[in-house]
Amino acid sequence: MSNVLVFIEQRDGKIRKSSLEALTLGHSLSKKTNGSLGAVIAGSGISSLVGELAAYGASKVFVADRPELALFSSEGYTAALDAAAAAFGPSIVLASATAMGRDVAPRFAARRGVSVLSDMMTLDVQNGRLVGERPVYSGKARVVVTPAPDAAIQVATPRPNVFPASKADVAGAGEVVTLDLGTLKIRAKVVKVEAAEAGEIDVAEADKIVSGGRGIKGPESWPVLRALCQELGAALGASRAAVDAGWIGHEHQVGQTGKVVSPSLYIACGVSGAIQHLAGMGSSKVIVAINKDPEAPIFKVATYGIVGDLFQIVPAMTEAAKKMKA
Amino acid sequence: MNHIVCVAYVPDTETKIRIAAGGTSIDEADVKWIVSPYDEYALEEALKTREAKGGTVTAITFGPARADTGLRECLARGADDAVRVASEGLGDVDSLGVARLLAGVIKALPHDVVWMGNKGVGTDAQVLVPMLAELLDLPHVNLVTKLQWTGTGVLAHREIEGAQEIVEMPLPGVIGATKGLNEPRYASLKGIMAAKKKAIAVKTPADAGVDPAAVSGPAAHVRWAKLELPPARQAVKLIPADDPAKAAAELLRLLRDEAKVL
Amino acid sequence: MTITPVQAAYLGFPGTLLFALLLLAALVFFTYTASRRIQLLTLGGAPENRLDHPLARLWNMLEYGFLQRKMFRDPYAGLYHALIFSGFLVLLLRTLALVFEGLFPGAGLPFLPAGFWEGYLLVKDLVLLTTFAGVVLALARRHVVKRERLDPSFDADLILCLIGLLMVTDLGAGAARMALEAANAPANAAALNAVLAGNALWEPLTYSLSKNLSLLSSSSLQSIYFGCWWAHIVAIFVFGNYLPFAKHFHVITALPNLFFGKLEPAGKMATFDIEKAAEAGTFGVSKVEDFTWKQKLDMFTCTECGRCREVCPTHLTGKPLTPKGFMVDLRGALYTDADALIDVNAGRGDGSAEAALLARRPLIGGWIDEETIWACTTCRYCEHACPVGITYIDKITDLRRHLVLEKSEFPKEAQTAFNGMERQGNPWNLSAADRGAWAKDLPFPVLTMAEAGDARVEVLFWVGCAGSYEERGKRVSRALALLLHEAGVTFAILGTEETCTGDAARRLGNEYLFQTLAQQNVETMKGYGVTKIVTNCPHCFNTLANEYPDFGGKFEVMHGTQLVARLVREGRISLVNGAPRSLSFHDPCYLGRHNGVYDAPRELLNAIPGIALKELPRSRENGMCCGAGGGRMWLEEKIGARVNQARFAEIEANGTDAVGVSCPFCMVMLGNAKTELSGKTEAFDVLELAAQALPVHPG
Repeated sequence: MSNVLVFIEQRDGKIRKSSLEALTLGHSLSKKTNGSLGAVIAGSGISSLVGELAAYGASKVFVADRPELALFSSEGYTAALDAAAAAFGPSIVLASATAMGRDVAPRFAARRGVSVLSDMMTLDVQNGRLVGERPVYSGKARVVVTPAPDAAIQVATPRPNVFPASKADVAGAGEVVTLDLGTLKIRAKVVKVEAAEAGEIDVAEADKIVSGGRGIKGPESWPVLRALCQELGAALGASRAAVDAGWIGHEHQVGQTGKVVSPSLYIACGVSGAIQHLAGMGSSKVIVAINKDPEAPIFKVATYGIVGDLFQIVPAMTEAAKKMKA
Repeated sequence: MNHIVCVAYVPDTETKIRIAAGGTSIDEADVKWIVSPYDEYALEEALKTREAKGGTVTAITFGPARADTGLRECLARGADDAVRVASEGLGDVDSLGVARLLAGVIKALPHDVVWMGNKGVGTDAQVLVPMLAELLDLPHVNLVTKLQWTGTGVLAHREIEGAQEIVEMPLPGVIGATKGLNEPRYASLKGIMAAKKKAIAVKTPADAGVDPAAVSGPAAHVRWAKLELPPARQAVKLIPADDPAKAAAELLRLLRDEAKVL
Repeated sequence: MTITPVQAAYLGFPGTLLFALLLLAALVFFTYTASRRIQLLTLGGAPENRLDHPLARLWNMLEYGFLQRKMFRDPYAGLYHALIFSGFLVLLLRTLALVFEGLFPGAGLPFLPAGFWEGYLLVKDLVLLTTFAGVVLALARRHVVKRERLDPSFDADLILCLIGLLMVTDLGAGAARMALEAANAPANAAALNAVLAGNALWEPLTYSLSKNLSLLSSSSLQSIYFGCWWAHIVAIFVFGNYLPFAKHFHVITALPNLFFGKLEPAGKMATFDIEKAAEAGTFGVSKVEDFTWKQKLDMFTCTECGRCREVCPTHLTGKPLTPKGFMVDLRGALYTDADALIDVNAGRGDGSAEAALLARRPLIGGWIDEETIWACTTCRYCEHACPVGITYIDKITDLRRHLVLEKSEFPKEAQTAFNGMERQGNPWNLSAADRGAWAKDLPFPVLTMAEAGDARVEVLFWVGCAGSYEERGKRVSRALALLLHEAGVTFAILGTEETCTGDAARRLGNEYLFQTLAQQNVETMKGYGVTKIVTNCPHCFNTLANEYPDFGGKFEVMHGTQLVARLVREGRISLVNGAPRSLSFHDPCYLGRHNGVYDAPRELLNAIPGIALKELPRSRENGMCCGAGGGRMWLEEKIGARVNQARFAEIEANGTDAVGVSCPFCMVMLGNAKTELSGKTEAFDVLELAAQALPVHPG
């Protein structure tokens, strides 16, 4: 029997979906180990969130509700996790591999003298030991990892959007345990959160890019692509041909002499895929090519392709993305 | 101000990865090694800060002798000193082990800012920044895309999902750099030649105050059971475009359910 | 009795003494100037031996100097320049005689054989006229039948007028003297007639003018004679002393500059010892004095004729670089601080020269903008055009070397290419493991040298980066493989052991990266005992053939078109298929101007059934660059028009069905231009066309 403790991330009084995924995963692991499922949540004015966590199967919810935890601090939130773990005695601790989870879990693990199964694409438990796969070498290989047999505590961060989130068949007890963290030692702290600028995401930093080439025919077509960017939270890219034609600024250019990018999703619309473009985006994880010309070299590197008119397909994708969100 | 920059010397992101016999490590023949691009952002920011405010920059890595090449690259770009924590004879060391070895050596060095990339592109698990901070008992801020210096510390823009956090951190502290922070420089030949003359300090686990047996082999907390390559890149999956709406919906479904990128 | 001008006294001052003083002043001043120029030439800069192969050097001087071979490409300018140049050569003796006459009145030149002088006078008389005509034609070129390449120049007008004045005063003095001698002659009609007949015969021009002057009084004639004579002497002295200060220094330096010109292959850049440079602590050139003496001689010699910029792709597309402007600016930097440079070099002075040098306008960023330095495509049109043997690419790349190696300041997009070459052996940074993948689709196996083992390999096929990775380039590689296979040539490739030759790195100033790649490639090839190489990339071709010998790699290197043309000639390949089509041919700079290969691609094209070659107006030696050379392929082109579009417009105007190319980078550049301009002339590699013409084998 081993207990599973899941670190829950909330923002603006709302539990993050990725945390519910982790909680769902934790619930299934706890069933396999015949342990109980705990959740720990930190923040200020968050007691109303306990019910939702119970619905996902949490039998105990550890709450650190203090004004100085209103905004994130790795030290403060780690202290909450640490206190909950001390109280709950879990053998497995999960936190979603988000910016916050990746901050708190390793700090906690180091404090307990263990390492982290990080960024897990799969996660299971066998004979009480976690086992799962994670990407290494920038996604060019996958490794099956497992903690040492004698690990007193196993810490893992499952990747967001990989595991499903679903409420438990039978809700957990949701017993609230208020954590007493004593005097908090917080040195680095968030002082402000700025929503991603409503404007444009920089193509160099973006995790998703929708890119246009000469096939978009002219600068008047950018709104078609921008609408899709908006829906996907993607940055707008452009091929050198489109930039040279003066349709858009050089800061959008992807390629050998523009930005070299490797987002997880690259959607090339009307981009032929000349080598100078491929050199700038060829290492993207998933490439989608939308082009009228089936011979365009972009299809050689694409994961998915649609041979067709981008002026019909891209707006349809925007609509589909809207529906998917809803 | 004294800057310590931790760098990982990793296979080039374009290098073809092959699995070695045994199935738990890569075949290192023909691998081109580079300083992890994310650590390059860290080094660049440290160098820029030193240029503006004075101080020293020390590059530090954990690895075998070949990693000296990576350290020379850092020296060529302008680092003042370089330290390698030797990995020879250690066997597999997990992230915590690396963090303990680095922390052990860093403790003995004057340090106001400890820098590194938020991730390596090799085997690292993107956990070193918080772990190192914890072991050094320092605050940290990770995923930094913009940095301002205040009187007593830094004001950092940290990239999180769909938003930016502005983090205030006093010094000393650990900073994890990510893409967007700067554009790393290219070493001049002048720098390369000067770097050849500099000595690289090699430290042992004992120097770090770490018992080798406690961080490697059976003592490692995370084990690699099996390393494998993803399925070979398939030819493009073409979606019929007869009905644009259907094609679009199908594409988004594949991106979400199969490719898992939405 | 007629006296000569120096035999007269002027305000009681003996003419001979006056002349001697003038001569002395001119000589002293000239010697001073010349010694300053020589000091300037020789201070600083790496040593350079330009005395090897003296016969070849003499021949160059004869061919391009005395025979003016390049000058007649512009027939009009060639004519007037030849008139003036030949005039100078002839009148040199005349001037010597004048000096002798000035010092030793009444005596003739002592060392001339009998009868020579009369004949010389006849030539001289003719040359006075032709030189003057040359001056008039030259002035007309500057002011009436103008050329874009010539900029308005007071200096040029001044010098031309001075030359005209020399001719006029020479003639005037001669005619007045002749008329005076006739007037002063004794009443012995026979003797007089004999003299007059001699004059008429040997100096017909002077004689006929003297007839026109004969109405004047003796005193007037003497005034004209003396006035013209002294004016001529003063003009000569002024002329000689003015030359080193202006663009007409070429009158003195052009012939030596041709003698000391570059004998190595045109496309070879100088290799420097990195370890030694590191000891000295400087790489490349950041101060004008760091150029070698020969490079400075180039600066002295530039005549600002502007031939270098007529087809210069950067000039034609409105970029800040023109070779002429560049050379004039370098010279400006050199001359402006000449005194301080000489003083510091000689260790003279009170430290003010050092201070002046510290405060001087910097060469890079002051005299020459960084944009100018990065604009050059190293197409070498300028060097081909320059009549006096000036080289430009060496200076541009020396400045780039400084910026890259010492300063690490260069257009940031070059870093992507440098990193790619360094890490994956290709500027696109595509995986080195995929280098041999282009050959997989062929119907026969293409072996690597490693796979070939002990099997006999006639020739190594050096594929190059574009031929290995770029879609179109891969097709061309397959075409060459097919042609070699068809001819039964046994060949192999290096596969993943091949890396970029480093051409672009070197031309972008990254000598360190270039040398690293060169050493690695030479080692690989020597390991396999490679002796013959064929490649379709002119940049690889140039580097392998001309630059790898410095690293111990001496191979027989052929361009794809050379080898295939030979195979066709030898009957090992027959080209039988083809539809009628008209074709332009675009000469790649690194095959043409850098290596003189113009005929092989044309020979091959002419062997393909149906192809009608229609030469472009700018072709062969005058071919215009596509814009990719000199590492420009890897940089953004932000200023002015795009070079590839300018060239493509010329190709479109030629009105052919297609354009043949012989370089993968020309292919990319012209292909891009076609898309950018929605043009219609498609580019084909000559080897693609040849492969298409192969007979179809059943099965």
